[in-house]
Amino acid sequence: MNAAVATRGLAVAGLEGGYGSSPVLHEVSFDIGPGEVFGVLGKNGMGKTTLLKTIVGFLPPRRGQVELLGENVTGWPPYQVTRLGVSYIPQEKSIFQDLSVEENLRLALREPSRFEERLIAVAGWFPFLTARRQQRAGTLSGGEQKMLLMARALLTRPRLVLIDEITEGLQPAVITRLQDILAEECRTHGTTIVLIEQNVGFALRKVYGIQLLLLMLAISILAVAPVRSQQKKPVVIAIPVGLSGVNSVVAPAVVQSAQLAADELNAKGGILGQPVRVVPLDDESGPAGAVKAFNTGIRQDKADVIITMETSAARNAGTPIAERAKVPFIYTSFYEGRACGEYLFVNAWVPEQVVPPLIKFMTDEKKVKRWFAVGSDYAFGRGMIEAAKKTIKDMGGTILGEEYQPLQQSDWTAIISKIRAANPDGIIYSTSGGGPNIDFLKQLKAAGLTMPIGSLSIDELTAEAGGNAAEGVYYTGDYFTGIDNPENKSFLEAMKKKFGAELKTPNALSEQEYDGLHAYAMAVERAGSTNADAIIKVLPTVVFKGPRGSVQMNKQHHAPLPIYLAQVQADGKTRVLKNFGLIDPGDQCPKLK
Amino acid sequence: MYTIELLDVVTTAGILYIVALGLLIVYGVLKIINLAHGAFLVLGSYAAVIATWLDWSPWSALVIALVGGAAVGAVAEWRVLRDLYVRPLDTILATWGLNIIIVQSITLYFGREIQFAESGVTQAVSVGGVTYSLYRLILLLIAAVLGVLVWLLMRRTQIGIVAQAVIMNEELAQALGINTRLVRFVTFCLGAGLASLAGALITPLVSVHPNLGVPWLINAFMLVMVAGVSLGNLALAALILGGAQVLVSSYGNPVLGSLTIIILAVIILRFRTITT
Repeated sequence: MNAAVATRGLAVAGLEGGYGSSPVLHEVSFDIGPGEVFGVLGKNGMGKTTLLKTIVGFLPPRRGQVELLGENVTGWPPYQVTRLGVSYIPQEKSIFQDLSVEENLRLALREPSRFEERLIAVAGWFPFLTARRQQRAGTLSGGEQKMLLMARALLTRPRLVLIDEITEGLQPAVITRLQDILAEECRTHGTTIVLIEQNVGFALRKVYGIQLLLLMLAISILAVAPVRSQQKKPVVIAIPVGLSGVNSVVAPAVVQSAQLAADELNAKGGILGQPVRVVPLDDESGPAGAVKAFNTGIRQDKADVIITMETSAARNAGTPIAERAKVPFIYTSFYEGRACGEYLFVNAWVPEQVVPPLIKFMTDEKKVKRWFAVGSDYAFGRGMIEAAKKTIKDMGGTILGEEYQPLQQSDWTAIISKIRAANPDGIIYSTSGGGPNIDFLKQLKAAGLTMPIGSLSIDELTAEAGGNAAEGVYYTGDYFTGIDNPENKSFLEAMKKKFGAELKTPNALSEQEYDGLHAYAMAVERAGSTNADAIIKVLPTVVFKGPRGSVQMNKQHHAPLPIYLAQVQADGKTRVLKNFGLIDPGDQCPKLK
Repeated sequence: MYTIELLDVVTTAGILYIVALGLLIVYGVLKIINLAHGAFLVLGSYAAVIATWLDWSPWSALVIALVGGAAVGAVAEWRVLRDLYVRPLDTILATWGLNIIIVQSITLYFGREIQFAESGVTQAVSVGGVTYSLYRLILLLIAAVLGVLVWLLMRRTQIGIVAQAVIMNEELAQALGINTRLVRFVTFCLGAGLASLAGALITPLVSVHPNLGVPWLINAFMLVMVAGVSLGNLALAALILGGAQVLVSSYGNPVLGSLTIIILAVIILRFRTITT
């Protein structure tokens, strides 16, 4: 219709450009007329995306010229280029996940009054769009998201469409649909199309009857990234962990556990012959960071699985992202319990596993009948004390007092005086991790109180840093460095050998990461692929015999665990006293099998 | 009968007094709230860790803390604060920045994990029929000694008198030929040194890690707001606010207790008529 204006399509002459000081494009030239389809083919790292970004104006060209629909647009900002009638579909992060389908579409259109009319036009190809226009775009399936992208690109009736690898990860039926739509658009409206593809078939088939220009990228574009196509695609294990924030004390040990497990797997030829790659990401110990880290891991690093220790808040933020993307998530931190998801597995303890054995031991062996319970005033501290009170009642004991201390407060004077006044047989406490344990125990010792103490929050490193402050304290857990079995000995030796002076002492929050990687590897071998749905079926059947003993995540995605009793010695070191055997996590996720 | 409560109240007041003293002195003379006060407390705690590493007596940590804190304070006053006194609001930013720098430097060197520091006294003694922490009683004594020493310094020495003059009327002090710049410098060093000393003194009661200073800074800040620039008022404020906290925690619960200092501080500020 407006053929007179659209005499030219896209002409690029002597284009040079790239990122910062590293040149990617060298003397790229081509000329495409209206209604032509131009395929840019090539491997990863050849500069295809850089070419599109330079044309649209996201990257400044160093030299050369871009002429678009008769205008010299060299150096124009992207929004001006787009308004000439150009639709650009980038490869990544191209949908507003948290906006509705309709909002995504409206964002593309400059004239809102024409939205309904244009929607009807594109909905002919994508009927689901009108039916689900209020749905959040992030909840669409992968194929539907690609169709939404295509609809958004065509909604403006563009004269030039630039598409960056739209077929990746799509089912053949969807690909065929998209091919037909593009071919139709080309034929009826004379739209010019530039396609970037690794999938040669898509570019070739879709242009039947239309002239195809094939650019020999090997000649005109200098590849700066080394071509790694010779190597097999690695199995990518993302580890969003608190490299900064409250978890930064323990996070390095978690990453080291994963690195050792990956080394061991790679030494045996990888998983299904594919190398294992570990990608640590910083979740900043909180939910906001976790969202970023999960998205980066899944979308950018293409993680096959997420295996990590996190705060509960970070886990709660990350779980829905993994669920939506259908990426298995093995959580390796002990926690308050009852986190459930189809793709979520837990290989560490929940309160039901460590609290009752400790209370029973103190009741039976230390003759503690009259208890005093002390906690830090936050969800985990209170939850642990609740679990302890339940067991104490079941065992016929009485609770003389129950006190909670605000998290920031390090002076325990008032509570210690109350304990003294109550004069219990024993104390059970659960502060927040690390320092508060030592604050409380130091002040208790200074006050001259010497009854048996059970701790639900101390760990080996904290006890040792406290010197003799924690002397005599009993606690339970699924991992201690002092566990006496061959697997633990060789684990500790291998860690020492691999990391030497850099070694972060393995602990009750880091060892499980090692188990997690091995269990996942066994599941992939058994399933014969990294396919997520196959993995979640197989994972509960896998038994990994590691430093803790044999662990299988077969109870509603949780694991019955060997639980040990330990006591802090006068030098702060922890001694394992006994093994209670496998303790069941109970009903954590009754909706899961 | 109420021996334990009484001991808890007076020793808690003593500890609060020790922790707030340095902040009060800096506020009085320099008219700024030193938000790096918490960081100087942390420095003092790590002085105790270093003493443990060197295998020195735990009491030597007090000297290391006083000298080390004063030295860091000297550098900070000289490089950061000196030109900011005319812009009081900017000193809030500057001292908080200083706080971050000190705490992060400690984190870089020692890591976030808690550290072990040897305590000189861990035993309990019998007082009026109850067993009580000897160290808390010693802290009460130290608080009294520090209070007297600082009072003597301010009232009986030249530098103290000069400092008083600066507190009362700085312009006049300058007109009389007082080098207010030097007064400020010395005062800030003293305040920083006292803060570090306080950090070393509380170490036997708490775990040593880079963030231990924050809750103490908040309590010290409240006390100084209430007390103004008077040493006597500070002792009184520590006794009333600390005492209320202990009693509410004992007869109510510690969650309410931790609110007590702040609520009382607000009430006192509302009805206090003398501004100092």
